[in-house]
Amino acid sequence: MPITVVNMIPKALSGETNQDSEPNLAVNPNNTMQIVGTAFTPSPSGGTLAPIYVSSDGGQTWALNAIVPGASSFPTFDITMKFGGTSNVLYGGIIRADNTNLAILRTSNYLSPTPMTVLLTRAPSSSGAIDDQPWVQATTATAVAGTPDRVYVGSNDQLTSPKSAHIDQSLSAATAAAPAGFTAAGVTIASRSAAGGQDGPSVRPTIHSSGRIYAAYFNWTNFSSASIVTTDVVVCRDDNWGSGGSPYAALVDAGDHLAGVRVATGVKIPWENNHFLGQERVGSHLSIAVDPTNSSIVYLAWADFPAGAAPYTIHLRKSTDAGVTWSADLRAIANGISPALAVNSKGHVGFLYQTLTTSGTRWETHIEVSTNGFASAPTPSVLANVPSNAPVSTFLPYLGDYIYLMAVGTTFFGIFSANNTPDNANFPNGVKYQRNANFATHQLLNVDNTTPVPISIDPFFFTVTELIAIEPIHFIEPIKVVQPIHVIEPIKAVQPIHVVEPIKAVEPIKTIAPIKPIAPIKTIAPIKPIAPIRPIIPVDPVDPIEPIDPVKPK
Amino acid sequence: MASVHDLTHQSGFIFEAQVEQLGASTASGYSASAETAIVRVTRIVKTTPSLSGYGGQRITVHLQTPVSLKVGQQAVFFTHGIHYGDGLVVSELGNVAGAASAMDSELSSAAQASDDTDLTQRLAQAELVVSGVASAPQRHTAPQTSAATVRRISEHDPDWWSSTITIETVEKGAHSAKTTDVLFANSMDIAWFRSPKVKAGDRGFWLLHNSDLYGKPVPARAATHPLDFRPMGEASRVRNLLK
Repeated sequence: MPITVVNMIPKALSGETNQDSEPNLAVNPNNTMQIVGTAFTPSPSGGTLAPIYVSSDGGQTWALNAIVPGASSFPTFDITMKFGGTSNVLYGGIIRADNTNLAILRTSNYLSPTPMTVLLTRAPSSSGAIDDQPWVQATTATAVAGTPDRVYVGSNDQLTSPKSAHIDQSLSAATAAAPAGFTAAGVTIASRSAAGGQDGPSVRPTIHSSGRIYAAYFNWTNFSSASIVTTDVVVCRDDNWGSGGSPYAALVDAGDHLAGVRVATGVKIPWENNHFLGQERVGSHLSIAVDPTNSSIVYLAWADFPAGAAPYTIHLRKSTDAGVTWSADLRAIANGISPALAVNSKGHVGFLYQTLTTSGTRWETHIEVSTNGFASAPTPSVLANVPSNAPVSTFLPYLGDYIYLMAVGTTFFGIFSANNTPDNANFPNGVKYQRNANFATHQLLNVDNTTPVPISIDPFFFTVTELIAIEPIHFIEPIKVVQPIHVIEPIKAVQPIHVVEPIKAVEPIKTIAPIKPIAPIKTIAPIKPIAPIRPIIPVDPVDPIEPIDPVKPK
Repeated sequence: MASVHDLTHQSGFIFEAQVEQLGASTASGYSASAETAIVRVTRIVKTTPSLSGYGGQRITVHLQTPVSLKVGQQAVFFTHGIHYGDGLVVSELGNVAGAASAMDSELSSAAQASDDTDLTQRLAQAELVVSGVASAPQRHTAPQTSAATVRRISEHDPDWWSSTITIETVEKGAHSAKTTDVLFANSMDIAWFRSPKVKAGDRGFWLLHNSDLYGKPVPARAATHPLDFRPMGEASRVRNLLK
């Protein structure tokens, strides 16, 4: 499978040394040349707008466009974005850096310098309950009248604790004025009152074009004094775009008969908000993806302490009956973080993750592509293999609480953050830098292409393209001698077609009044026979009247 | 046109440059127009770390209209960045013809005033400003006010710790005791890593607030903004701004 890896820092920012961690990616399904990336990247000249990474050539080159509102001393906190399916509209979900509000954003032109429109804002409560990790998924419902954009933003809304697993959704988000179909309350998808006081930060929806929506979340059942979370891993489902009176209740757990199947119960997750694993924190890693060719096939991955003990391990499971039952672990990745799943148009599954190897000294970013639903373990492709101890972490997360993978057609598109040392040995499948770098000396260089720049954490974009299998070529019989082609007479000039006058509009046919019933014809009395006409007797000729003498005057 | 003081406060990137070409662009993703000019940066006055290497480099300025600059002319440009691709494009908020050296005093004064604006605001919002020395910090344990109180857990949790300040002077507010506690966010999460992390022996000015840097209430007086601790070397600056 051909793989391309691109360092996303543009040449104009060759001097930057930021910790550009926690990346996310949006590829326009309507035009895969249009791609947006996000990370914890400050606006290079300050200001109140945070930048997004933009590409208009399929990810080969990148620029920064500062259009995200809410920047303060830092550009933005958690941020994810997605394009609608065919609308070319870009949607974002962020935690603002100026006030920690959740905000849902929109723009119809991701390259425009106009700031994104705020569609919905939710402020923290006075007691400090906040929204966390807004996770945007979007599509265009092409089979629905009007082909509306449908947007689903999973988040951990502590304002509704203990049922804090939450989705803000709009069934027609593309053009209407704010809130564009979003509501202040959103939808609480958690059905159980989490005994741990709340659900986990990761709430992940995934959309099938049929209108079937899955969402995965952690239902925390305990939070120990030793910072160990006990939790159920839950998947819920809606079969009609999340609409209706009882959304996300299509899956019912066979044990407690509540909405949302508990794929795993009582798992232990270390809540380590510190430099726990290769300078990275852990506590809430979760991913879900539905097969676009079959809405009943869905994949799920999460990380925990198996049997309550290290190593922190990613589990990958599969359901073929729309989430009712689940497989055992199909893959288990020790010391793995940030699983990201996607399924392409052939039903092949991409599985992206980062794993700490070589006695904890290297962070490796792997992608596995399975063509058989992980019936067998695919060989991972290593996208990056970099030191885990350099650069020294500036803040948490070091690499990100998540990375991202998606598929358009047969191609997988992904993003991850990693140490940016320009060393070909660190990128076994190759890498392309835009920023100035000397791969011979492994040195980053400033915009003058001379001054050394310290290494830092950069976002990397990649694609994995599946080759189309070609049928073996059968032996071809030798071509028989072909008879010489007769000369064909030139075609005679065809007379031009006369333009036909358009048919005049025909007046509509008037409605004809119903025919009244005709009164039965009365019986006519038989005509009496007429007496035969008697013959006319010829009249004798009259003698001419003799002239009378005139009367003589008296 | 706005004053140099205002332009300095509004601009993220201020530099002296010479105009090399009008109607041109150094960035393939940003089209040349009648408002764009290629300039060579000859001196940087104000910058962020990411743009600090642009001395001597050619960049594109999107000029304000009407365009009055000529090729070869030198000016101080007050700008902010608008496009970062294979070339840098900045948008002009204003310019002053001539060399930066001719206005060094004015630029320096404006830059200091811009820096002071944020600190002045934090001082004005503070409930109590004291100078003193911090003791060894310890984790802050919130009192359980009721059975219904539930700890909110998030990776953005501030992770409150506290330290006791032995007070040397009270600069603002009423406080008669010789010590006061200061709460601080010990978390290295993205939301808090720039907040002061107090260590035993830290000596300086403590700006104590009843809300955090996002405006949310805090369990006790806290220093959460990067400016909420100023070292003793800034004593005269702090006291001048408090006047």
